[in-house]
Amino acid sequence: MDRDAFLARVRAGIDRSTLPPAPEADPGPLVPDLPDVDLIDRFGTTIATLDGTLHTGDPYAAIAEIIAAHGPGQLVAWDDEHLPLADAIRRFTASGCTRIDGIVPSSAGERLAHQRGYFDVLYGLTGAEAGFAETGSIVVRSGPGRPRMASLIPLVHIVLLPRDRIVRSPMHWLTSKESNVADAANVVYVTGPSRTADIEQRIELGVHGPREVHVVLVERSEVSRHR
Amino acid sequence: MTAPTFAQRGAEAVGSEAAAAVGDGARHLIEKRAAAVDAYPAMDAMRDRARDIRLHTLAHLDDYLFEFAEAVEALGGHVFFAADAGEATAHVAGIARAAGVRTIVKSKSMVTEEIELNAALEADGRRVVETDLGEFIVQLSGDRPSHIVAPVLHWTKEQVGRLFADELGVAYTDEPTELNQIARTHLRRIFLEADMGISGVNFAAASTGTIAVVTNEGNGRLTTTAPRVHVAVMGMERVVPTLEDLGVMLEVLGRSATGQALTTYTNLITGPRRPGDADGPDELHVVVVDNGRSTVLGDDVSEVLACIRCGACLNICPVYRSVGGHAYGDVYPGPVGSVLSPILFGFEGREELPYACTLCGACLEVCPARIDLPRMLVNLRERVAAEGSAFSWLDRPLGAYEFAATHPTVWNASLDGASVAGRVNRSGWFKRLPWRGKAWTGERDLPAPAATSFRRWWRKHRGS
Repeated sequence: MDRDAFLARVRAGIDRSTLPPAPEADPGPLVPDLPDVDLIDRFGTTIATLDGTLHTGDPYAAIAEIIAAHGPGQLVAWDDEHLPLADAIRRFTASGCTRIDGIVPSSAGERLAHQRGYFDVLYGLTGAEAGFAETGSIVVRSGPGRPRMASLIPLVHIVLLPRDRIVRSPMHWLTSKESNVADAANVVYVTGPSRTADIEQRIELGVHGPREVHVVLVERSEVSRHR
Repeated sequence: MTAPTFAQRGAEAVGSEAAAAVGDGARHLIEKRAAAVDAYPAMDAMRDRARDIRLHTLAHLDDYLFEFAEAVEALGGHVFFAADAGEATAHVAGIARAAGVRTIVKSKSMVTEEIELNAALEADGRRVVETDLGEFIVQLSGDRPSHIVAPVLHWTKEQVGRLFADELGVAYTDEPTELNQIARTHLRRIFLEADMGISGVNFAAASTGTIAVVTNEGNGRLTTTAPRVHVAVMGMERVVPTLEDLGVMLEVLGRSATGQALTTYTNLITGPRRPGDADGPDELHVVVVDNGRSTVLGDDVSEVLACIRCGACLNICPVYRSVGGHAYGDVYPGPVGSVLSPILFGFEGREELPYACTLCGACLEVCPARIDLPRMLVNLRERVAAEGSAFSWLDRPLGAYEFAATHPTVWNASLDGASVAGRVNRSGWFKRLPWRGKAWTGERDLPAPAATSFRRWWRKHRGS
């Protein structure tokens, strides 16, 4: 249907409707009034209830521990310049992991051939824009040098999160000037590992996305927000 | 032969294994909701704000849809406005044809089920694969979903095991972990090779053209990331003014639906892949669907368009929990479906739906947008009655209940007995009553009575 005709029909519906009284102006967002908490503590306890893991100690030791637990495998990672921890990718490759190129070609045939290489990815390594203490979520903003697949296709997702990026709740971040969600084609809140409860309401992890999510805290980021 | 009515389907369903499984699943979900709401001090205020945002948007829906379409197109996306199911499915089929698509992956979407998109695409020679685990099971077996959030509440793990063994050629297992692994492996190759991904839209922000697709499994992300073409199908009422408003919706959606503060993946998509982006779809098409919604908007039940499809009203509803989703006969079951379906799809054959309700008001209590479903169900009953329809099953005596309710001594004794011997669950409902009550609670929950009955309170206080 032509857009104008469609919208005219909507307008005619509104004119006939008996909607309950509504604010004339957009009521706008509400930032919740939540009790003060230690943001890192709260983030850690929340992500643990979601079967995710927070690593607060030496980030290199955390990476070594994760690699030791799973052995070498394929890695899809954000480029070094977008990661808030120097030398992070090399820790994987030095342990026998193979980094797969994260740039997907546009042409149909090449795209298919490239993505077939994603079938067995073990590790994904990304940074994060923010963490939400209330929900245990991290925010990944994709773009140049920051493939979406890195937080989606692997079995184990390792997130490097600067300590000072943890905020109280999603609305605290979304209403801040840092958020700018529409600046990128894709922004995702990741709240723990992939899960389903479709079969008899039993929680199972890793049905399509990562089975493990490790949030590794790093010191204040030297990497500016790449837009 | 006429199609079976709600009462016939319901009578058949009550007491069945499938309906019992749906009832148990729904109770479990509503208990998780209660825990999440208790744990979040801002929930009440968020619900009020969510309602205000939804109602404000509906009152200016044409303006916000215009703004949304302009924003998506400015980003290089395409927007198509579909008056009805036929236009929507023909348009999507056209996109698939133009892009030379063979395989399509889909993430769970109610509106695509409503417009029967899969059938249209398959008739046009495309292979369509549902990727939500529950919907995958539904598709593989030729069944229908029984719940809008959890489609296979009515399936046992043994049934899933047999289905996978028969259809996917794997060894039988009824271990959920192994069943999930089988689905992951099977669907992963299809994801990575598909040419087109079709998703629904949970919410859309008009000012930025952003669409939100939330899933727990990650299939929504794969569907909108791996294939080169992404088609997002949205009911026209999904839009809100801004991203910040969209955030308010997310605050109440997960908590109401599954008791999650946030669904695992909140996927915010603003246009197709941009120059230099490492990956993502090169094409984005948004199909905005009316299909009867402008009629609903002009109806006395227009408020129902504020619905965010969380399913809480299904989970709390004593009727839904007894008969399960299939008895309702349409894509949208439960209290919200009983309001929406007759207006969206016509009253004929749906005259009984407004009566599939005890007017207990529990759905209003849990609705994140505080939609007054009981009021609308009464409104629809009046309209059905005005048409002169009569339901013989309404005259059927309710046996023990009627006897007790009309004999005060029996009623009081049964309430006293119930408060002592009954087992009240978290949500304040009796799950099992002893003695004669057993037959009643075998098929339904009874709200737990107050510690002191009104009759007793009245006797004590009438003098003061």
